[in-house]
This record gives sequence, C-alpha cells and structure tokens, in this order.
Amino acid sequence: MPIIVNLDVMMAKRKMSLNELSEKVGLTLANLSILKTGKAKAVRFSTLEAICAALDCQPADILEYKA
Amino acid sequence: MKTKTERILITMNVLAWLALVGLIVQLGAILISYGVSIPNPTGAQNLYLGMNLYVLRQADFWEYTGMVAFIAFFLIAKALIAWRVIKVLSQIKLENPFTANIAGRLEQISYFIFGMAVMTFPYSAYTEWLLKKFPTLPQKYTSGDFIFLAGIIFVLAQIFKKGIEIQSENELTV
Repeated sequence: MPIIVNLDVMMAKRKMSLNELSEKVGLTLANLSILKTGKAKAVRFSTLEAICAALDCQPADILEYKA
Repeated sequence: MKTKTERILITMNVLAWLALVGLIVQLGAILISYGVSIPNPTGAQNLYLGMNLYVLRQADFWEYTGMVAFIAFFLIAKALIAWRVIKVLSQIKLENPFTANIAGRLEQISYFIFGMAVMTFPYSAYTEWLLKKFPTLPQKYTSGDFIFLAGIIFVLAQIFKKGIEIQSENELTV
C-alpha cells in the first residue's frame, strides 16, 4: 500500500514508548502495533486525533503517501 | 441460552449425519445387491427398496453395470456433499462465522454439486438411450436441479467471502 505510517518515527522523536502511547491514546497495544507495522486497513479520525494530541504533531507527520 | 440459529444449525447437523448414514447404507445395499446379481440375475429385481433393473441385467450385463455405476456415482457424490456439510456445520462458530475455511468448504460443495450436474448429462443421455429399449426403467436425476442448487451455493460462498473481507477490514481498523 502506498500509504506509509511513520508512527515509529514520531514516537522516537518524542521519545515515547508504545506502552506510554497506548495509555495516553486509549488504544490497545495490539491495535497500536497493527498501526505501527502498517498492517492497518483504516484509521478512525478519533484515533488519529488522539495520536496527534498525544504526540503533539499533525496527521501528515504520521501518514505519508509514496507512489 | 442457545439462539434460534444455533438450534437450527444443531438440527441441520443431526439431519446431515442421518443423510450421510442413509446414503452410505443405500450405497452399500446397492453394491451388495449388484454383487449378488452378478452370479444370480434375480438379485437385480430389488437392488434397493424396489429398484428393479432385472430386465436390463437380463438383456446386457455391461449396460446394467453402467447404470449401477451411475447410480453409485451419484450416491458417492451426495455422501461427499453430506460429509462436507457436516464439516461446515461442526466447524462454524456463530461468534465468528466468517472464516476462510468455511468459505472454502462452501465453495467446494458448490463445485461438487456442479460436478453432479455435469454428470447428469451423460446419465440422462444413457438412460434415454436405454429407455428406448426398456421403457420400464426408472429415471431419477435431471441436470437442471443440480445446476440451480450449485449456483445458489456458489453465490452464498461468494457472499460469505465478501463477509470475510469486511470482517478482516473491520478487525484491521484502529
């Protein structure tokens, strides 16, 4: 899929672990892992909003389009 | 407490087992009667529950054998379908019914029924040819019914596959 999820990059920039993000966002580790590894087929706006709030970033910092 | 669908599926499972046992018994009875009729042609008078192929047996042994082979083929195919239905019914879980395994089995059932439909063409041609010589012969299967049934199950299998896709997409939405 040409949509790349850069969640790990943003987490590294903010020095945040998956456990910490999971607690802040309210998502399970399994679901966060699905998103981080690029296996997710869809992302809810509410999830994106929570992640952006937790990592203090923009959606474009997490999602990237590569043809 | 079991839901209505669960109860229906359990009942269908029991019925499928009964059908399988019935078909195997019928096949066994026909094959034994056929075996008896090889040395003793009167055995063909009642192959199974009044199925009388005595006239054919007396006229030509190989034509008689061909007819018994067709009947045995349809019984074996039906038994295999019943077995697959039992597998589907025993493996399906209502909490998570859309699995690739169940869809594959449904598709296999439709192919089996389609195979039976295809085999009814030579069977019909054969029986029509025999009926000209022996008008009293029983004719049992027509292809139309099987094609219709195979079509319905194939469509169901496709809908099931779509269900699996939707479920997988839903599970991978975060």
